[in-house]
Amino acid sequence: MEAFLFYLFSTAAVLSALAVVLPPHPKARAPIHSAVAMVLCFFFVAALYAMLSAHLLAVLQVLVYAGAIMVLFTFVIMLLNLQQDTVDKPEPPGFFKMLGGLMALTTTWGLITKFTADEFLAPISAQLVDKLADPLHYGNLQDIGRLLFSKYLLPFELTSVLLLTAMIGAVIVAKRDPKTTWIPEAVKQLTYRERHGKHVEKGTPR
Amino acid sequence: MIGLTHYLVVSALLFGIGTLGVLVRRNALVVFMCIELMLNAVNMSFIAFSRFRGGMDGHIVAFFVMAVAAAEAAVGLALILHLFRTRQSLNVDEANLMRH
Repeated sequence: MEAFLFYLFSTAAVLSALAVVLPPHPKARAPIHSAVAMVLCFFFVAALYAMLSAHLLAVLQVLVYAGAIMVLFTFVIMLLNLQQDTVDKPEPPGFFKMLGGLMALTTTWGLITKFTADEFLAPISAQLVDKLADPLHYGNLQDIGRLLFSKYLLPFELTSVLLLTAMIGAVIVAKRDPKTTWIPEAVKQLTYRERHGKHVEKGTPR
Repeated sequence: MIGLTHYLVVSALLFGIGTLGVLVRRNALVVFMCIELMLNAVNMSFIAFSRFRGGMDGHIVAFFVMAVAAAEAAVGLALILHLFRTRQSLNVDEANLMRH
């Protein structure tokens, strides 16, 4: 049963990850399709976390990744109003794309051969356990929280500083700068009319 | 029996797919999603190692990685918004200057 679930979830995770990168349908090239495939992938990865008895992290994966981060992505996609992907045109791959694909393939191949080699886990084989000593308490909120507030207190507090910095940085970077922002001519006229009353004659100097 | 190696291979596959996306796709948003995918793959290997060693320190590291990913998503998406406002394009090949 465990093997069946593992293969089911891992195949689904890998396939949905592939759907993020390589669109399964030529019309599904917009970023929103990648975002939906990404949410699916996060759910399957959360299922794999639950199989590893990391219950808290499985919940956090769904809440933080599939919930918060992907909603942020979707907000940005909606804000930019991208009807279709004008960037990634379905054209025959050039030299650099082929090179990039080759590099990614060799990286994956190297990692897998390394992980499946017999001597890879040999140095820590004495520490590896198949059955957990206390499966009911492993990976639950209480024990992780205790660890977080005792052994890892300093990094945990530094995380809050990091998040605050990121928040301030995001607000400053995303602030609209009227000098450099490109505004369509129609929107410019619309805002002008809103400011100066509706009836503007055509020859009015702006 | 599903062992540590199985989970490591899945994590390697996810990491490789993320790398492929960063190198092949030209849309800044999709490149960004692929970076999140790579972070996820690393998280999975952390959790797998800590499960098969019986400890929970890997969970803490994965927790911090999640926090960093959230911070990175906020700043990165703000940068993408700014990029789109100034250039009217999301192509990462066109964004080769640090100024406007």
